[in-house]
Amino acid sequence: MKITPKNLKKHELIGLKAKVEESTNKSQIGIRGEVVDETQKTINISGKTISKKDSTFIFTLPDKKRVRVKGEVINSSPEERIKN
Amino acid sequence: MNKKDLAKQRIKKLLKKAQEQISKNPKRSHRYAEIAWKIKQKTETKLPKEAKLKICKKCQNYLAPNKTSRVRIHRSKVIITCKNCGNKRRIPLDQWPARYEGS
Repeated sequence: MKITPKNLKKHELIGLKAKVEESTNKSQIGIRGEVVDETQKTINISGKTISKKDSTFIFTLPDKKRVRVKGEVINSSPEERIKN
Repeated sequence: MNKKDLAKQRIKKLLKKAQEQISKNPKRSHRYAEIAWKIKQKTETKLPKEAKLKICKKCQNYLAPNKTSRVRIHRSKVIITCKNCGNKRRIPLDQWPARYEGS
């Protein structure tokens, strides 16, 4: 029951390392750091709040794999994401 | 993967992160405890005994001894008081878990 690329959208994002790859807000491209908090529509990477829907992220899993995730896939609050 | 197993894993990870941050950033610890509580509520999972004693039932704060909670013994019962909301929790001494990491 490790974190795999398949169950990443249901798993806990807080504590993973992340990087913003693409975004409609050009000043936010390239932000990298550790995920600190998460709300329904935003994600907080190292103190900077980024909208989920307009961006694409790259997460680094504990076994050193990297996964590219579009923001629409994780666009719900942490307790709702585990349900679907 | 089962939903409840996933929920247990996430709650365990969140509480571990909350314990690490309690000295530097207590607000973040309270936030992680709140998310863990919501996950438990939505998926209807049961927490292990050590985790139950770490989250306040009333205000969902993270309870760490001597920092955000007060642990005393009175008449063979352990009383944990939340410093934020004053909610108390009483447990008989012989049901106390063997591992209770804290401050």
